[in-house]
Amino acid sequence: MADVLLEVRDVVKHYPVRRGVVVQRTVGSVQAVDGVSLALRRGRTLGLVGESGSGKSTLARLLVGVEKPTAGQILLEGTDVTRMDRTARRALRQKVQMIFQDPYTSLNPRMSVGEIVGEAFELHPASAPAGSRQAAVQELLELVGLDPDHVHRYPHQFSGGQRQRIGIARALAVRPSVLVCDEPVSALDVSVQGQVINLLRRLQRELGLSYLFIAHDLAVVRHIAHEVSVMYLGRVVETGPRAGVYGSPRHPYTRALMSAVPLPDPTLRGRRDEIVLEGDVPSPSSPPSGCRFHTRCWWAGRQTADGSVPAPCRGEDPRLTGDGDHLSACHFPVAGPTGAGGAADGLRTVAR
Amino acid sequence: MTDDPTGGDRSSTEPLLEVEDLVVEFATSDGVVRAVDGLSWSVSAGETLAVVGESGSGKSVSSLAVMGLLQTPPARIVRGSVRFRGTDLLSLPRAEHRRYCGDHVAMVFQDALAALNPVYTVGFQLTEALVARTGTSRREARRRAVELLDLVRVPNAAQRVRDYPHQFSGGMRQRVMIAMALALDPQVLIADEPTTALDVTVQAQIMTLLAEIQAERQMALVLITHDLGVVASVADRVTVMYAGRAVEQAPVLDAFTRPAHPYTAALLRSVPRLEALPGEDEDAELAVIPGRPPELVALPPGCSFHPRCQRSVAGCRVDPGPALRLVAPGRRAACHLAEEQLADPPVPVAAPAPAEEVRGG
Repeated sequence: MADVLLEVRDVVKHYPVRRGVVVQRTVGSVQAVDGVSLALRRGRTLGLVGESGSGKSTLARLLVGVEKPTAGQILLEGTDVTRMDRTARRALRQKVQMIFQDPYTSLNPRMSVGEIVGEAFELHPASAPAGSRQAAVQELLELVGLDPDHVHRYPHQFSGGQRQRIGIARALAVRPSVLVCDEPVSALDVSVQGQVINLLRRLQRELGLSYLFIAHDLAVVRHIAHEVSVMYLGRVVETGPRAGVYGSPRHPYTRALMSAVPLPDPTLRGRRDEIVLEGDVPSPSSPPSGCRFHTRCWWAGRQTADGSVPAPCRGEDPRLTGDGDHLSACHFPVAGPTGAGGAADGLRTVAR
Repeated sequence: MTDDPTGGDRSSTEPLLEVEDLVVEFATSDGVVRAVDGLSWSVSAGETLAVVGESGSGKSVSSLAVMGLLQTPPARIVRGSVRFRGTDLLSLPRAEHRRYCGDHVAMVFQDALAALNPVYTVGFQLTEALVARTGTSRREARRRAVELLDLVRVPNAAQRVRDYPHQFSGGMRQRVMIAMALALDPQVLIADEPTTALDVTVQAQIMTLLAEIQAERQMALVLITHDLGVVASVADRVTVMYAGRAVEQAPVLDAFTRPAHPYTAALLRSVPRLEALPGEDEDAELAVIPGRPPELVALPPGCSFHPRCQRSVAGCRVDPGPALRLVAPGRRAACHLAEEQLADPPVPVAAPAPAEEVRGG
């Protein structure tokens, strides 16, 4: 088993909700991340999946040091970075770099590609090359599959996929060991998504990088992640190796999420069962008691004769448990594999 | 699926809405760009047509032309017709065109927040449209507004009509948009990426709702999307667009299992899949389409797809490019090599799921 490079331990991030214009008082808090633990191993990819409000992007911001956790530890190579002084944190930022979702807004339109990528050397002088910076930038461009002669071009002269490559080159400039990728391909066309995924996988092999790959698209995550964690309302509800999470998801939310993904296969139409969840994700400022998913859970009602939600689901916060490394936070974990054809037992189809 | 085995051959189903040989150009700083080039499609009552393409393929422009919503200039409709039950909407004056659409053809957009007015309540916006268009009393319109929100399953509709758009979640806003589109009982609903901005569990709710409403009312549905999964799960027929042209038109089952155009085939191979295909090596590279979609200002000669096409031969690089032609019953493709493509082994599909003890509901 590869060693753990970056570890998140019981991390909490609450944002205060304030009322009042002159005298502000705190009336509550948005529990964006509420007790999350993750372990990212060297040279591996951890996929982090969730819908809006799940806290996955907040977690990314905590990891790159843009935000400070309310509680908990973030350990990089065993050192708690939340307790570091400024200089030490700067060194951390060099090791943990981020790739953003939108390659259209995350690159300064007034800077050439050479300036965008080379700027990293100024922010982290320790990583600057001894020789020519331009040569170093060109080498980076080549590494991510761009023409090194385009170093003087501006972002608008590139397509979305190429811009995402520029973002990757910028992140790689300071020789990080971890890349936090926040929805890196969701703004790209299907025919280009695969190119960027393949590039990230090649770079991982060649440079030994670790990725935290955040996405809402379960199909994309399956093609890159070794381990997968599923988040719901600030909590990890299921985590494990890819084969386990996709092959026999144990949390009813994971099953619902998978069944909701429309598959590009019309022969499955009418042969997929559907788990259509009712309602929306509750507000993270007042999450439900007990299991946070119980208000939308399709599985809980089947545990009682009268279809009511069992008391533990309403009253007791489930812990992540399971055998081996496949864990789920559910009082009544779902057993059994998913269908041979689908990744979930009940896959949505629209009856016609 | 419709019962029509030919996939909507014109002789057997009466089309409600027909787009024919539509050409739309845009004046840009780089010159005139042909965003839609000779596009034809049609849709009948109770049928779902999906128009699929990547960004810049022109899939949305045709629907804006249908609705009379193109800004002219910079857009210019060079030629073509849009016929609703035989009436050519493009020959009508703009105002009449818009009114005609209001009565018969409705549209739902991707971004519901931008399409709703933030300073009026949802109920006001719904009643306003009803009063203006049907001449009913305000009281009657209010009753109908609640009914419409009920229809799209907005909980507590009677209370929620008093709320403003920002008080609704993304999924609820899209429901409100669908309610507005249904207000005047349209016969055709055009939905342009209706679920792209939504979470996947909410997307499932909205697609289910659209399909139910369509089946109930025997509406024609034109679904514009980039999502092949959505197409496979709801559409009857599909038009695949590339660089402004329709490159393949076929019943969905045919297009997805035996594509006739190499672009359709390549797209299906490159889409990330949730389920491992039989014998798939999960650590192998993802299949990709090399290169990127062409710039419309500088289209390659001949077939626009040839620089990225694995099958391309010398003839593909020669103007004029391949025309959309009948390649099998009910199927059209714009490719010189469609017959070869059709002879390829079918796109692998996942094995059918066995009956499960766990069923969602």
